[in-house]
Amino acid sequence: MMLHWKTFLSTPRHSGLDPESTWQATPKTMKQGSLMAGVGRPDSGSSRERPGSGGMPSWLKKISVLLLTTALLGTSGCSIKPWVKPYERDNLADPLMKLNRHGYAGGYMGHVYQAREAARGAEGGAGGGCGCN
Amino acid sequence: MKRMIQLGTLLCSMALALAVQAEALEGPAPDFTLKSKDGSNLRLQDFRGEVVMLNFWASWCGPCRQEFPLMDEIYKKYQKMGFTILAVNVDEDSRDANGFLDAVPVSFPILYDPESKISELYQVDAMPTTIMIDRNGNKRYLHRGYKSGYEVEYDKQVKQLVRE
Amino acid sequence: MVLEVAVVVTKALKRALCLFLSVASSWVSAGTLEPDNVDLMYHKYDGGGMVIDGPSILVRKSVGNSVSLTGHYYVDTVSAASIDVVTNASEYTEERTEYSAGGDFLHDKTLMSLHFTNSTENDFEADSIHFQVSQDFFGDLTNLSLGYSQGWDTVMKRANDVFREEADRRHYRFGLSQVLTKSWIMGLNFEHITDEGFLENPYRVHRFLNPDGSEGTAPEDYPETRTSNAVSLRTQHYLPYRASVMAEYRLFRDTWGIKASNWQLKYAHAVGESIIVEANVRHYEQTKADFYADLFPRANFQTHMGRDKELATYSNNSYGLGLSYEVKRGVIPLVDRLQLGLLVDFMQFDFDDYRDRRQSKAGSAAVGQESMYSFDATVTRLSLIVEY
Repeated sequence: MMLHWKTFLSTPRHSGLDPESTWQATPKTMKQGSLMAGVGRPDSGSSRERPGSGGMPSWLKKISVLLLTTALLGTSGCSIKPWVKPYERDNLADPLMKLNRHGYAGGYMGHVYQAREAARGAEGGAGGGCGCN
Repeated sequence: MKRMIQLGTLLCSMALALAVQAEALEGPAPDFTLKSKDGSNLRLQDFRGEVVMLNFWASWCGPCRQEFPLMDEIYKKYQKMGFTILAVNVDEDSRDANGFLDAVPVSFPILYDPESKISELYQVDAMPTTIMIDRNGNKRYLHRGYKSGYEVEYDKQVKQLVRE
Repeated sequence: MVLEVAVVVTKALKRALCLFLSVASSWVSAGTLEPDNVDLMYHKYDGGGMVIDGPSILVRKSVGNSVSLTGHYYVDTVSAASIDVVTNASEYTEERTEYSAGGDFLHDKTLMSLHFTNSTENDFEADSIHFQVSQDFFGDLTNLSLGYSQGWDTVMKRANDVFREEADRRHYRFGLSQVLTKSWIMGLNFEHITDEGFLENPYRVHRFLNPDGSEGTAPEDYPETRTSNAVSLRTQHYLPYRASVMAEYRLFRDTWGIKASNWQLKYAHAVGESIIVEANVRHYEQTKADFYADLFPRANFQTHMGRDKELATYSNNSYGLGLSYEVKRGVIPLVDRLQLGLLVDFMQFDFDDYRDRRQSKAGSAAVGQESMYSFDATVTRLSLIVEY
């Protein structure tokens, strides 16, 4: 069965998807209803209910602000001294506290998730460890 | 999002302090007494008249592992001229030190500071830390961390202090 | 003449995304470079009618005190008989090869990384470049990292020399981690990704209802841009009897209307001096893309249409176990440390709006009345790391 292919090159570029809109709340204009009930709505991408900042739970926002503040305090030269001394990093240096103990194999599930799921990004982490040198 | 990146870059540049490899120090080295590996108590004051290389290390510290054999060489080289190394282990559980010492055997004295009292006294702010103390009991040089090549500095400084 | 069209189920384009897996997937302090090592792995994904397996070889060598170079070779051998494949064509086998090279440069408390990756298979090619800067400050309690990646994909089709499309990808990463106590560290990560170009799978079709109640199909047509944002929060705590617990939560939003979130819990426990056992549980859920439907009400219903099950509304749960065994210095000559690892994860996918088309094809259900699809997969990894 030979499938009939569209000539993609002639399709005009869509700018209906606003790259900056995802984290901001925008006024609800045309709510994107169920595709099954639609009567030939022309474009699925141009105006739809955008997930507002209410998409981020308040506890996540609070912890993020707390972490950023702690980091800023530390780096801005405030008179607060580091409260975990370099010689107290026994536990943090323990291999049990490594996010990934298995080298490439440890990060591999991330590949599997990315390949099977729509979500991507924000994996990984740095910091911790022995803090030597 | 872009603002985040700008903020991040600003933070980065603000805090990019260049760590100095060796720093000159002044003043008397605070006295202390710690238990040593062979069971006896060792007091810093008792080493007055000798050059002392005070080293803070831990079993979980990678650079310490690299540094130890090189320190042992310096110890053997200058010991007869009135030099000693006091290696203070900061592990909370001193038994962890033994595994390290089995893998990296050395001949210089090992002291235990499980409660970090001496680390605090000397305001240790990097692992490992090495402080050179002269024959009069004064602090002379500070090394933060260890990177390949630092042992050349150690050797030079010990040589200089031993000749004083 | 019947032309057999093989549908690439592992989503060639999604595979390209694998290349963007963050280089830093461990809490690595910027003060020291990773030790020299050879990292060998065998991986196998078995589920939903697909078996993908192959080797991975990574070599790391430091040059002087400040530079560490890596080279990596990886192969996926795919034999596919998944639901997409069997409802459109026939089983196939395929191979994807990936080469990667790069280096890390350490200067005091700053770690800079640059890596290049190339992935090739017979109908898809992807090149990418990854750059990351990681900085420790505040007595090594705080770590800030910024990353940028760029990818260039070329999408082709088997048995079609003329077809050639491109897609570009850009990733912007921000990470912050903070040591809170001697035993507790938390991390926050943001990633902003923009894709532009040919983002669909050239083989996949969407389906629609013909006036006579039969099923029609036509090629997918996706928007030409996609922008996504993801934020994740991670916390890890050390337990005094030599164990650790890690919890993670991530939120995802994109301009295709997909909303996703997942959480994960990991527990690791030391048994003696050489063995660590670990367990993890993860739950993921997402809502569908705006232009996705299992069955459109008629042909040419709207401009953008897709039926990729990865853009459907679904959830997946995964459960994993891991074991590592360490041989310390002194046992094997010339080897600083050797680690053997075995990791097994079991995943269960349940779709809310993707139906099992095999049923209507077989005549056991009417078009659009098939039961919802679900499948399981087992992912196994065997790893050997030799530090020299």
